[in-house]
Amino acid sequence: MNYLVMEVHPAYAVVLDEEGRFLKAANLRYQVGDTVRDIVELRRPKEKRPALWKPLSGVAGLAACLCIVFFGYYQPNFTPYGALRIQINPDVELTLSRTDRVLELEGLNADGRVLIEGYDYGGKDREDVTEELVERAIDMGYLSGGETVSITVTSADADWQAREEQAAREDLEERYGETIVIQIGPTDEKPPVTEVVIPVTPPEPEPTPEPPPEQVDPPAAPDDTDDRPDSGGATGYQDTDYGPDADGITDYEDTDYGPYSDGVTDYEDRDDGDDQDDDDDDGNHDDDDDDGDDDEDWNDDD
Amino acid sequence: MVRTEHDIVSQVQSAKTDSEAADALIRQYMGFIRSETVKFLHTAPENGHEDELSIAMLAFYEAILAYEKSRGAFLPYAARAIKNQLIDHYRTEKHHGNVISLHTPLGGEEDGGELLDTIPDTVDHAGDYVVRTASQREIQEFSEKLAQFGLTFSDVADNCPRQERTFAACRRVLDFARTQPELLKRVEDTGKLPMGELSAGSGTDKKTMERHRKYLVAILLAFTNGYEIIRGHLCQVGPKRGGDEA
Repeated sequence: MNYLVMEVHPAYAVVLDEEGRFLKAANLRYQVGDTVRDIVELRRPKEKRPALWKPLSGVAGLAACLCIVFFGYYQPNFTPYGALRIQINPDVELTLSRTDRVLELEGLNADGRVLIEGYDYGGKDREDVTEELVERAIDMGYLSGGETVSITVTSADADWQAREEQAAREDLEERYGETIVIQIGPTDEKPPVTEVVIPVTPPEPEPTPEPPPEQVDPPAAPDDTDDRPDSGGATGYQDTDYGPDADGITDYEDTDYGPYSDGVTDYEDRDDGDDQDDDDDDGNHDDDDDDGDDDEDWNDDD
Repeated sequence: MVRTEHDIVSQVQSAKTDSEAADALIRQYMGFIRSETVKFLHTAPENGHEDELSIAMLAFYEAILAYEKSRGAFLPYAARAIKNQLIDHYRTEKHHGNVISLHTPLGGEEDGGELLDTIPDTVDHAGDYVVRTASQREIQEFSEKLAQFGLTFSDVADNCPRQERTFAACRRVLDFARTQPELLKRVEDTGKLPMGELSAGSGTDKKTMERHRKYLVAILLAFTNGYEIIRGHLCQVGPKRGGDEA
């Protein structure tokens, strides 16, 4: 490639290459009008692209700071993480942050509301508040020696919950352990599980057992009702507990499941060849079945 | 007058864009450039190392263009740039291998002449001189024409497209303009590019043309009447285009 020297400067020459580029090259004692062959071309500094991240970096930095403040300071300190309930007789609940800050204090019964009235929990942690509340309770006469304080911690975080319970208990025991009893879990005032008592009547005599549900006749058979004169009369439907014909006896006890099971599953009734106890109507004959289909006769083995 | 580092920085800043200021700065720091070169060569540049001095000056100029104020003082930076450039140059020269200077003395004698003298002189010195004077005159004319539009060759070189794709786009503009003598005439008269027509005719983006306006003006002017030698030098432009059409 030949270059035509167009202009000379002390440090460089402007040359024109054969394709029409104007270039700057080292001026190796060139003169205007020379045609030269090997040039040492000027290396231009790399053009800097305007840094797009620069204006954004401030925003990103700010966002990062906010994230740090939020997740590192605000969230552990100021968002509820669990609740601690103290039951003496006054019943109060402390809402705690992850770092044990007391965020809220609530009286769950009248005594509890009296106990916390005028009490400032701002900025205190769980340890201070529980101790001060117990002290207050003692001062106000709700708690005297030998009585029980029960502490319940609830949180979605089981580990945290266990730690808190342990810590709260240790703190209180350290201070009041000689005078009062600290108990983890709710007080025994209420039984933990509500029992429902169902009156049980003696079971009906065996000959007319409650039919198991799987042997109920298909309701599609219109003639298979108990109120027809030719019905088998053994379906037990007349023994309804509902409506005007209720006999006042619930037949729940005749279930085959659960603690009240009588031990007699009626399953064997199905194919034992003995229709005596069978609930279906084929104590009568199949030709009673005038609806033309055999569907309800599937368990009839004769 | 006491020169402070601060003065150099402002001089360098103005030299980045102003080629005359750059020339002045280089002349002013010629001693520095020379001393840096001597440090590398361990001999005076006059002893057959004029090229190295030129390379060092180019390196100084590159340093001016690349210097950033926030990155420290200028002179140490320039010194390093010169040294690096000389090392690069030395390495590329080494590729040429067993080349001996035409100025090598013959037969080890002090005044026995040089190797150059033994080569038969086939060059037509008179003809060469004529051609060179003619091209000098033409380039001078071209330069004056550009000056009318406020352009120098330095500006044009700085504005020359460096990316191959952009260069090809500018080339399309040129190819199109050469088929439209009246457009070239308008460029010659006004120094302004008829952007609309050129863009429509060549398919080159107006933005690209605007970015390389100085270069395009210069290259279009070169294809107006009267610049035979320059056009002759640009023979590569013509035949290629002809080849495309064939």
